Amino acid sequence: MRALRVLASLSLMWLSCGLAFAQTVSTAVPPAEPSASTSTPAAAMTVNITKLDVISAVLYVLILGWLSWIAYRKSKTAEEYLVAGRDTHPFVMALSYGATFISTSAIVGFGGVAGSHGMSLLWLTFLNIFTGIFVAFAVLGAPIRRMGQHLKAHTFPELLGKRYDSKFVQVFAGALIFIFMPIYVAAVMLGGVKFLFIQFNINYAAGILIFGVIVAFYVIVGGLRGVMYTDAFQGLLMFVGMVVLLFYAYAAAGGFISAHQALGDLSDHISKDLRYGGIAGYTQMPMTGSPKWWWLVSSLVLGVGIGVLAQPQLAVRFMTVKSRKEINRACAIGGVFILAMTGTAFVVGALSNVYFHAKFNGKTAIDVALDRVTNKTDTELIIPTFIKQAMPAWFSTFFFLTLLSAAMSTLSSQFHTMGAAIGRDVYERLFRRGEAKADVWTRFITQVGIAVAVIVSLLLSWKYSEKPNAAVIARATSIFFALCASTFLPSLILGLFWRRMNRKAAIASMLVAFLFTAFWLTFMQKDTATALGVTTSMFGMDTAKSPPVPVRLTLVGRQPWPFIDALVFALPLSFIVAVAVALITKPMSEEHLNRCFPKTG
Amino acid sequence: MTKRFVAVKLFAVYVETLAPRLLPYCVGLWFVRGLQTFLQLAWRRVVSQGEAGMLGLSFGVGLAYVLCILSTVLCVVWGLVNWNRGDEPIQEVKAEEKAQKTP
Repeated sequence: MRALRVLASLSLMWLSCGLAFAQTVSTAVPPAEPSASTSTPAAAMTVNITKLDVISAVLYVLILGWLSWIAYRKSKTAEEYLVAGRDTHPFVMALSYGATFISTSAIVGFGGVAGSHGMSLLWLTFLNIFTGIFVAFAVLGAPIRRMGQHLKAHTFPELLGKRYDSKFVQVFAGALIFIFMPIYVAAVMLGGVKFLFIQFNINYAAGILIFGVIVAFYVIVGGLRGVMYTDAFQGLLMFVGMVVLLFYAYAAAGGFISAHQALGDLSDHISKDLRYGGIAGYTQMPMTGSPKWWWLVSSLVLGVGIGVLAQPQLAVRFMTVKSRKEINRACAIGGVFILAMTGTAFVVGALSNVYFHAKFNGKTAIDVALDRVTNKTDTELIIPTFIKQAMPAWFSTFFFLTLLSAAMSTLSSQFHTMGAAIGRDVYERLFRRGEAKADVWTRFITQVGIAVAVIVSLLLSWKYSEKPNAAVIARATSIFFALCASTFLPSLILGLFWRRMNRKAAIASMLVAFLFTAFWLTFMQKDTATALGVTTSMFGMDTAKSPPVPVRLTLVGRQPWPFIDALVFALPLSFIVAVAVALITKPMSEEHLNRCFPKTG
Repeated sequence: MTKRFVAVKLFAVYVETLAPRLLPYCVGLWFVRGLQTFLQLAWRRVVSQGEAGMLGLSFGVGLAYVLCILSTVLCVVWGLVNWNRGDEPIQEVKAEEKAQKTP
C-alpha cells in the first residue's frame, strides 16, 4: 500500500513536470532580438537553459528524492509523520527552522522592496534575528517543547487546544491556518517563479506548477521528517549562496563603506512616486509619519518581525527535539543563518542600485527590473535581474538552486502545516473515529489536505502574477504574519507563562483579534480594502467625474490611517482582552494546570 | 597553607556552582554595556559628522545595521553558553517510563 502511494506520487510528479515543460516550451516568451540595443536592460538579457542548469537541477531533485526516501522509511506512525519522532538533531532543527522562516518571499519579495525603498528594511533583519531567533529560541522554545511533549501535541493548534482544553480553540486555529495560509504560500511560490522567469524564461503558470508538484511530492511521502531533512540540505545551499552573493555585491559596488556612500549619493535618482510617499534616500529611513514610513514600519518590520513568533510551521519545530539542549544549540546556528539570509537580501537589493546606475547610464534598480511580457517595471524582479546581470554565469546556476531551496523549504513546511491543520486539528477533532483507525484516517485526510492546499495556492499565485509592481509578495507575507501574530500570540505567550490564562480568555482574544483584523483589512487598510472592493461597493462611484471614481476606498481617508497595519491595534487589543477576561473568569482546574506545567528535574 | 587551601577550595566551589549561573548574567551585562557604549559613540559621531556618519549610512539605518550584527552575536554567545544545558527530563514522563520498565 505504501509502495503504491509512492509510485502514484512519483507518476503524478513526472506527469505534471512533463505537462509543465510542454507548456513552457509552447508558451515561452521569445528571447529578445540580438540586434536590439544592449543599452536597455531588457534587451541585454539572453534567455537560455544551459547543460549546467539542467544537470544541477536534476542532481538537486535526485538528492531531495533520496532524503525523502530516507525520511519515508523512518516515518511509520502519526507522531513520526507530524513531529518527526521528537528526536531531531539540533543542526537539522536550526537549519530547518531558518530555511522555513526564510523563503523567496524574503529574498525576492523583500529584497526587491529594499531595492526600491533602500536599506531601512534592515530593521526587519534586526527583528528577524532578535525576536525570530533569540526570543523564539531562548524564551519560547523550551516551554513550547516541554508543554507540547507533555500534552502529546503534534501541531500548533493542538498545543493551544490542549493547553486550554478546548475543541473550539484547536478547530478554529486549524481552520484559520488552512484557509489563510495559501495567501503566504502563493507569495513564496511567486518569488521562486519570478527568478525562473528572468533566468530561464519559464512562464509564470508553468513555473508555479513545477514548484507546487515537486514540493507536494516529498511532503506527502516523507512527512515532517522528510521536510526537515530536505530543509537542512536546502538551508546549507542557501547559506553558501547568500554569503557569496554578499561578497560579490560589495565588491561590485566598490567596497564596504564606498558602496554605502555611493548608494547614499543616489538619493536624487529616486522616482517621484517614492519621494512623494516619503522615501528620502536609499541609506535613510523614510520621512517619519509618511505613508511609506507607516507601511515599512507597521506592515513589514513589525508585522513580519513580531509575526514570526506565532507562525505555526515554525513553532512546531520546537516540538521535534528531544530536550532544551538542542534548542539552545540551534539558537547559535539560527542567528548566523538569518543574518546571512535577510541581511544579504536587503543589503544586496539596495546595493543593486549602485551597479545598475553605473551600467545603465543613471538608471536605478526599479527602472531596470522590467517584465518583458507586460513591459512594466516590477519590484520583485530586481534581485533576479541583478543576479542575471551582475553575477558570473556559474553563480546564476548556483543561485537558482539557492532560490529553489528557499522556496521549497518554506513551501514544504507550509504544505505540511496546512495538511496537518485540516487532518489532525479539524477532521480528527470533529469527526474522530475509533482509536485504531484514527491514525490511518488522519494521515489520509492530511495528505488530501496537502493536495487541496497545493491547488488553491497555485491558483492564488497565478492571480498574484497578474499584478506587477505591487510588491504583492511582501504585502501578502506581512498580512499572514500579522494575522497569526494578532490571533495566536497572546494565547500562546500567556498560555505558556501564566497559569491564570484560561479557555474563555483564549477564545475571546482569538475572536476579537481575528474580527478586528478582518474589519481593518476590509475597510481601513488601503491596499487590501481597494483589492477587496467592499468599501467601494458600499459607497458607490462618483459618476460626476469622467471616468467615474470610487467615492471612498477606505472608511477613513485621512492620513496616516489607510497606511497603518492592522497588527498595530489588533495585537495590543488581543492582549488586553485576554488578560481582562482571564482576570474576571475562573482559572482552569489545578489538575489540568499541573498537566500543562510539568515540573522538570 | 590553610588560607591558600580555603582560597583554592572557594575558587573550586565558585567554578563548579556559581560560575555557570553567573556567566549568562555577565555575558548579558557585557552585551548591554557594549550596546550602551556603542550608542554613545555613534551618537557623538552623528552629532559631529551629520547624517552620513555611521558606516556611510544615516543614523537610523546604520543603527539597524549594527544591531543586526549585535543580535547575531547575542544568539551565538547565548547558544554557546547554554550549549550543554537543558537536557533534564520532565518529571512525569520520567515516572511513566519507570513505571513501564517495572514488571
